[in-house]
Amino acid sequence: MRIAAFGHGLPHGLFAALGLRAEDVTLAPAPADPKIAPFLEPFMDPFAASLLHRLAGGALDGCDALIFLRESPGALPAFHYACEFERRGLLPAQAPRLHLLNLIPAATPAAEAYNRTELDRLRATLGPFGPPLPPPSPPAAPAPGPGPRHALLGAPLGNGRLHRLIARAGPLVFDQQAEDAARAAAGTTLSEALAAQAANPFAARQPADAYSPAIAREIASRRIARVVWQVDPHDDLWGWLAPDIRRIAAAAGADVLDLGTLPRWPSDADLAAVAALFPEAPR
Amino acid sequence: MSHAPLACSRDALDHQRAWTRRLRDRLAAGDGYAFVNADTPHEVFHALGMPVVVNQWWSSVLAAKQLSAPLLDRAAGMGFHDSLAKYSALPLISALDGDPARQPWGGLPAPAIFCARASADDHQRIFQHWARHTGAPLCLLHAPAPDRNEPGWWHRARSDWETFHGSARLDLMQAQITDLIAQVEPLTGRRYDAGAFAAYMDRIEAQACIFEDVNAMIAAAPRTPVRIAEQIPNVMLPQWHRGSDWALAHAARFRDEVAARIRDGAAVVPDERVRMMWIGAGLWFDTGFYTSFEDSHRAVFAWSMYLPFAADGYIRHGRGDPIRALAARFVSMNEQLHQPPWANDWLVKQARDYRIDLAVVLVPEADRPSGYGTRFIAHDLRAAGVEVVEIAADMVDARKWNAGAARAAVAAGIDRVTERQNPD
Repeated sequence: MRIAAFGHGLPHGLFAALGLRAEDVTLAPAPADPKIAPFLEPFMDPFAASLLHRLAGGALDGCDALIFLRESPGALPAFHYACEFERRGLLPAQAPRLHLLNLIPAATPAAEAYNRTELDRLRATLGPFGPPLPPPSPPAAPAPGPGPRHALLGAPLGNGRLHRLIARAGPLVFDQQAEDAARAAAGTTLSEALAAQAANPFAARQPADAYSPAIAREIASRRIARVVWQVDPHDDLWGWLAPDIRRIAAAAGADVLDLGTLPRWPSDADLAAVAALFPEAPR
Repeated sequence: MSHAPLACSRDALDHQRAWTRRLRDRLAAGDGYAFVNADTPHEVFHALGMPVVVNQWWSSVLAAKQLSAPLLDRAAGMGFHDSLAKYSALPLISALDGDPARQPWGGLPAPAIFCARASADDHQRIFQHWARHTGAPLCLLHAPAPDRNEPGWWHRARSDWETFHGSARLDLMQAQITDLIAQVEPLTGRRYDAGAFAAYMDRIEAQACIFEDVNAMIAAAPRTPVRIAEQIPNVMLPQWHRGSDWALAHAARFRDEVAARIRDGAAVVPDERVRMMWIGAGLWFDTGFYTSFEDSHRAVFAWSMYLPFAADGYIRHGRGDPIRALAARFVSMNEQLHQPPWANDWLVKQARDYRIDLAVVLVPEADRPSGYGTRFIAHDLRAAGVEVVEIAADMVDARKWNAGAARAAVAAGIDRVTERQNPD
C-alpha cells in the first residue's frame, strides 16, 4: 500500500509505530491545474494549493491514500477543498482516498483519548498495516564551518535555496522547519510519539505558549549570532511571533536579518534581492 | 428612501449602552470579565455570572469608531506585518497600544480569563500574546475537524448532531467545556447548577427559534421590510446576551414588529427592484454602504448571515444533556460559514429562500479563514442564477477600503440584474 501524507511536522515516528510508512508530499511545487485553479483563492496557503494542483492533475494517482495532518497550517482547507473537488468530479478516477488525521498536540486525558480514537479510525479506514517499522533516523547535524552562526526562523520553505544562501555567510546551526520535522517525527512507541506531538514547541498550532521560550533556549545554547527571519507573502501565523523574536534575539546579543516576505519556493532571482542584506555580501 | 426604524432597534442600542455602562462600573469595581472569541461557548460564562466581552464585537466597535486605521498603523510600528488578520486581532493591537485616546472607554482592563478556539491557524498566537501581555489565563479549545463535511448541516446538526458531528469530537469538546466550567467557577465564586443550565439552554433554544421565525418572515415578504443594518443589532445584541430575559423578550418584540411591518405592507424600498445579500462579516467602518443603493437603484440588502445563522447555527435540541448540546453548537461553528460544501450549499439555499438577485461577497485577503471558500460560494451562486460581485476588502481595515470602487462594482452588478429583468 502506498500512502502519501501532507503537512508540516509529519509524525513519522507515530506512523512507524503503527506499521505505516507514509511518503511526505508536502513540499513539492506544481503547475496550476486548469480544472481547479478557478476555485483557489490567490491567498491560499501555497503548500495547500500546490498539493491540490498535483492531486487534480493526477500526480498522486499511484497512491492508495492521502493523509492530511489537520494541525498543519493550510491542511484543513486543503482537505475540504480536495473533498469538494472529489464531490464535483474534478479529481481523477484514480485519485487517492482522502483522509483527515486529527492529532491534538496536547497531553490531557481528553486529548489523549481523542487521539487514540483518531488512530483507530486511521487503522480502520486504511489498514491493516504491517508490523511496527524501525523509527526514522534523525537528520545528521552538519559540521559547523566558519562565519557567524545562523538560525533560520519563520514560515516553512519548499526548497533549500535560502539555506544554501545562508551557508555562504556562515553555518546554519538551527533550522526551525527541520527542528519541527524532527521533533514531530520522534517516538518509537505510540505513547512516546503522541507525547512528542504535545511537547513540540515548534508546531505551528501548538496550543501552549512554548515557541518563544524554546527559541530563546536555542539561541543561547547554540550560540546563534544571527537570526534570519522570513514569512510567506500571505502569512497569517508566523508574523505574530516577529516582535518576540526581535526581543529575544536582542536580549541574547544576536542580530536579526528580516528578509520580509519570500515565495515558498524562492528562485535564485528572488534570493538575489535579499542576498545583499547579508553583511558578508560582496559590496 | 424615508424609512422609519423599528422601535425595538432603538431599544436594542439603548440596552447595549446601559449594559456597557454597568459593565464599566463593574470593571472599575474590580469585577472580572471574560474576553472571548465569537465561536466559544459564552453560555458557560453567562451561567456562572461572569460578564463577557466578545473579541469580534469589540473589534467592530473599534472599527465603527474609526479607530482601525491608526491602530493598524501602530501594529506596523510594533513589528507586525500587514498580511496578518485584522478582525480577530484589532482588540489585541488596541490593548498592546494602550493609548486611552485610541480606545473606547479608555480601554479595557485585563480580563480574568481569555477563551478562544483553534478554529483558525492564528488564534492561538493572537491569544497567547494577549495572555502573556496581561497575565490572564487562556483557555484554548481544540478544533479537530470532521472527516467529511456532509451536506445539509443546517438540518442534521439540529437534532442528529451526535451522528453528524461524531461522538469522538463531541466527547473532546464536552470534556473541554467541563474543564472550562471548572476554571471559571473559582473566578466567580459560583458553582455550576445543572438544572439551571438546562433551563438556560432551553431559553437560548427558544430565542433561536424566534429568530428562525423572523428569518422566514423576511425571506417570504414581498419586499424587504427591514434593512440588514437594522437586522444586525436586533439579532446580535440579543445574541451576545442570549438566553437572558431581556434577550428573549427583545427577540420576540423584534419578531412582532417585523410581522406588523409586513402585515402593513411597509418596505425599505416601496418599489423594490433588486434584492441583495451581503456575504461575510459586517463592513463595520462603513455600514452606510448597505443603504447606498436604495435611492439610486431601488436595490436593498435583504440578507446578511447574522439572522439566519442565529437560528441554524444555534438550534441544538438538548436531548437531556445540555453540555453535550452546547458542545454540538460549537464543535463546528465558524467552519459552517467558510468551508465547502457547508458554506456554499447553505448560502445558495438562503439565496433561494430570499429570492436574491445579487450577492455581494466580501473577500478578506488578509483573513484567510474568512476568505477561504469564497470562490466556491461565488461559483455556486452564479450557477443558481444569482449575480455576484466580489469585493476584496477587510471587515475592519478602513485603510484599504475603496468606497468609490466598491459602490461602482455593486452598481454595475445591479445594472446587470436589471438588464436581465428587462432585456428590452
